[in-house]
Amino acid sequence: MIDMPKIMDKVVDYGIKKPLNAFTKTGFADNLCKNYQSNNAKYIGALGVTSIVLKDGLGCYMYVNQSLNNKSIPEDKRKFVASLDLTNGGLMILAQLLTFFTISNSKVQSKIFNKIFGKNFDGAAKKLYETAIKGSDKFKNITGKEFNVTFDKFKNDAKGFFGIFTSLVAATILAKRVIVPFIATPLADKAKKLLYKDDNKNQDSFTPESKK
Amino acid sequence: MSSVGSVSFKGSTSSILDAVNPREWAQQVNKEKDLKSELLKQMPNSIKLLDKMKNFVGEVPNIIINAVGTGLVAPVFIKYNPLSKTDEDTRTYSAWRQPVSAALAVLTQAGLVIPFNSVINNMTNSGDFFVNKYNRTAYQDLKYIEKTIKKENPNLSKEEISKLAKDKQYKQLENIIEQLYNKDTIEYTTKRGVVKLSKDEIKELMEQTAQDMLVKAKDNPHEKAVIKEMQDAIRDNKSVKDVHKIASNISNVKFAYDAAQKFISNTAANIKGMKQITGLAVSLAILPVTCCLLNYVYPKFMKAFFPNLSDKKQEKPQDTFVKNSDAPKDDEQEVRK
Repeated sequence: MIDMPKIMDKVVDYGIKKPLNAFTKTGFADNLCKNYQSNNAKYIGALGVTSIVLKDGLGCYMYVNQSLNNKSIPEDKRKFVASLDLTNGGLMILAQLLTFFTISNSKVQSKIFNKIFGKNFDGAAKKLYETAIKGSDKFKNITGKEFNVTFDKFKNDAKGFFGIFTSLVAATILAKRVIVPFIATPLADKAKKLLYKDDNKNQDSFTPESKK
Repeated sequence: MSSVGSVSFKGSTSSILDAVNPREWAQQVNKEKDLKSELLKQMPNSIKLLDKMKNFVGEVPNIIINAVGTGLVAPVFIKYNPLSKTDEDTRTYSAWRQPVSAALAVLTQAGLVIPFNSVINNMTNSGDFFVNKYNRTAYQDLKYIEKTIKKENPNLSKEEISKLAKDKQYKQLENIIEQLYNKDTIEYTTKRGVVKLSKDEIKELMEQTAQDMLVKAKDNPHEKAVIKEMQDAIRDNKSVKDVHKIASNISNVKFAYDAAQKFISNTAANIKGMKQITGLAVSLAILPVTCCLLNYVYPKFMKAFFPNLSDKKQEKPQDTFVKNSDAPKDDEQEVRK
């Protein structure tokens, strides 16, 4: 009888654990650790950009290629589907790079956060909250230092979630799924014409008769 | 956000090194949490809403939001695009590629990316990495601790498990601080035995901690002078306790706490960096699979649910073989059809 758990253990062992352990022993992994530990923004940013370009670039190439050669897609729609894959992929890379350097950038997020929520965390607001909290029996003995530490942590947490939320809405929904398809669809018309142009060049040497 | 990366004990456990008492210490940490909850109650609704957003953070919500965007939002902007001159049938046909693609993305991500990350999490928490800087057995992830407690005690309630897990995590944290302060090392167990940080590793950790303090000190001359003294002491191979005493000249600074935090955040950073690369590798590896799947499933799906759109339109003989000069008319012909 087949021992499934044992097979799965082997799959995980040879498919994930061993390659991961081999990777962590490399010099590249060491370098990765050093840069992540020191929070080297340039290195982490470059890695993020490379990741986006590699993933989406390769994806775009493969999708276009497969769509163009997919005989199951009706011939009259095939080139538009492939063109949309092409423009969608290209714009997706651009959109992600743009959001990566703007809305998803921590400095930009910090500015937006301060603009929207800044007045809830300035000196005057802090004083008000401290007075209100110290007014309750539970926290009447809290020191100013304790309050300040917690208040700053609270602000940082709020800023962190704001960053995640804005990135999610701006990059994942707005840029990738609204703006990109909106621009990619009319651009696909033009890309399709280019694809037809290439075909026509090849077909110039044929005549309908010779093809028959 | 990694829970390992954000330790919430700093500044609220001033008595720990004077009188080490885990229960008292845990109570101090809880006091800070209570204060945060009270603060949230005082905040306006916009901040409360932001706080609720943290439930949407994580791998699964990300996959779902991405899939909803691909499957439901993008097709609308393809099909009803006023700027496109391509006929509506072709646009509708192309728009349906998005939900099919989204469904396949959910399947492949749920089937491969999530289990892959789960294996990495288990490996780091159980100490299964050969290179120790990726093992977080010294300070495990709260969810992992909860999972192990649940496995060992299936009859416990969710609240009980949560409390026990937090207590265990506090204890781990306390162990790190105590070992650093009293023994100048950090000792923890991995699957390959007991690991003890070397003198050089501790020295590097202390240097990193002092460097972080220097960045925070900005232009404060007193703090800068104290940190300089600390750095000299570290260079002279002084103990954590000695450097901790020097650091005490800056108010509200507990060097041993900061060093423990640095150790935990370093491990979290190592894992984060590794996940970035493995995530890329997994994505690239499954790309041909999702691409082939989409190309196989999509035409079949369209044929089954939209047979009218899937039939090739009747073309006149001259449509098939057009000369270069006729090429731009293709769209017009499609629209006429």
